[in-house]
Amino acid sequence: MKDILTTTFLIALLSASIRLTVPILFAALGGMYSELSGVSNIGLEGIMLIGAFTGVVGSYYTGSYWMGALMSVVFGILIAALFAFVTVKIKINQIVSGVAINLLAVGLTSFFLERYLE
Amino acid sequence: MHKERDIKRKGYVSPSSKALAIGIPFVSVMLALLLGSILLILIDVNPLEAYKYLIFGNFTSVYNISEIFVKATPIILTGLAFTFSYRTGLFNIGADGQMFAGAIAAVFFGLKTGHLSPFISIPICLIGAIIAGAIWGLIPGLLKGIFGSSEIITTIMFNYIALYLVSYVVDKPLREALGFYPQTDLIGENAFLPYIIPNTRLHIGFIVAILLAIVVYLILWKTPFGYRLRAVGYNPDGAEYSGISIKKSIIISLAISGALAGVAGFTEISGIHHRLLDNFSRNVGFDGIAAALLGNTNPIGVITASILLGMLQTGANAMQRGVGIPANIVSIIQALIILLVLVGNKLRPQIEMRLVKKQEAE
Repeated sequence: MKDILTTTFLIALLSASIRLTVPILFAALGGMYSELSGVSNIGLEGIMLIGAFTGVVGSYYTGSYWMGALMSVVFGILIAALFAFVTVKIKINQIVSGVAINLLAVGLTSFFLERYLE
Repeated sequence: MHKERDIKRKGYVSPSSKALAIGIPFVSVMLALLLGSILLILIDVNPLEAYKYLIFGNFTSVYNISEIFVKATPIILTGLAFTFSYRTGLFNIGADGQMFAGAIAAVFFGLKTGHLSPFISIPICLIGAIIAGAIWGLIPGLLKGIFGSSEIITTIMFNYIALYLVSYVVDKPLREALGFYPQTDLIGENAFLPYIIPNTRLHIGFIVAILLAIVVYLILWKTPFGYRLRAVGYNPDGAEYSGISIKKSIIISLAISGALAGVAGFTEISGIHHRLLDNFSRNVGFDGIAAALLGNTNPIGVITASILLGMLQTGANAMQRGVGIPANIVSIIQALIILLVLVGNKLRPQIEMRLVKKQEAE
């Protein structure tokens, strides 16, 4: 036990935990916002996927990760706006539309990935 | 004014409402294809040529045509599973997990009884899959019935439990004797489902799915038990007031729904793969949801919609070979179809009202 708990190991463990916390924390914050306003956002995973994809595309083509982050924010808002429109305005079932958003995101990202980034 | 009230009352079916029941899914499919064609234009592909492959690319040989029904079989079953719970007012998103549970049971019994006569082995696999799927649906049902926890969340979580259970089963307890790949040995040959057409993969699981669709129709619409379930789905408070136990209906409905999805696992294992693989037939559960919604959650509609989805999925492969378009475009089209059908169904009263007003004006 003693030889595992070295400083190097602990630092690596803690930094890895914090690194892995970031995506979960962001998703949880997003979920909290919609949950507090009464919408169960099952589509978070799809929105994250779109954000990840557009982030990569943005930073690849502009060479700046800030532009990538901006791209993912913009496209995240766009796909969430679609979700919000169908669930809040037209009032279709939140869960089913969330599942559909996930499916849409999987399709869109893999479709454009095969076409543009290979 | 009277007419508007008539339409809101349940049971009144105007001629336009019947047309809308078919019209909304049809228009949704067309719109989804139209939106998909925008994507195709974005990547410099002629959408007409692509859709030619998507729709007619299958009709080149008996094998390719039979492949449509092979793809449709598990979708029909998971679609029926969603339909059954939906009619009781429940969203069973866990058809994937229930299918995996059924598949584990089918493989287990297929390995143990595969050397016996097919008349013993196949029914044992089927019953095992039904029971495993039913248990996978029963647990969320109990949680919902007793503690009132959302069946949507619990069934989604049960998907992950079943998914990783499959990974575990193929990795350790039932790993093939050679031990190379994470998969089980082939089940005994006598547990294979017989093929309907020789030299194709079309197995009698398709007939089983059609028969189960008829059974679901008879249970839901022709028996007092089904009437009670639909009453709970239509108006839980009213149902409870007239002496129907909501808790019991919820638990039974989710268990039956799980059993139907479990059969999908059985047909996939005994009919196609003949062994359990990691990650086999993913997303069939969600395809089932799409098929059920597209088919207005009635069994005949589910069969039609499943065959349509099977056609799109096999057509997508033909399209990928023919014009080099990523087959993933089908997921996009499918997601759009789900969204558009749901939006159409929500807007349906308004469309009906407008049609009636038009008729009155004439």
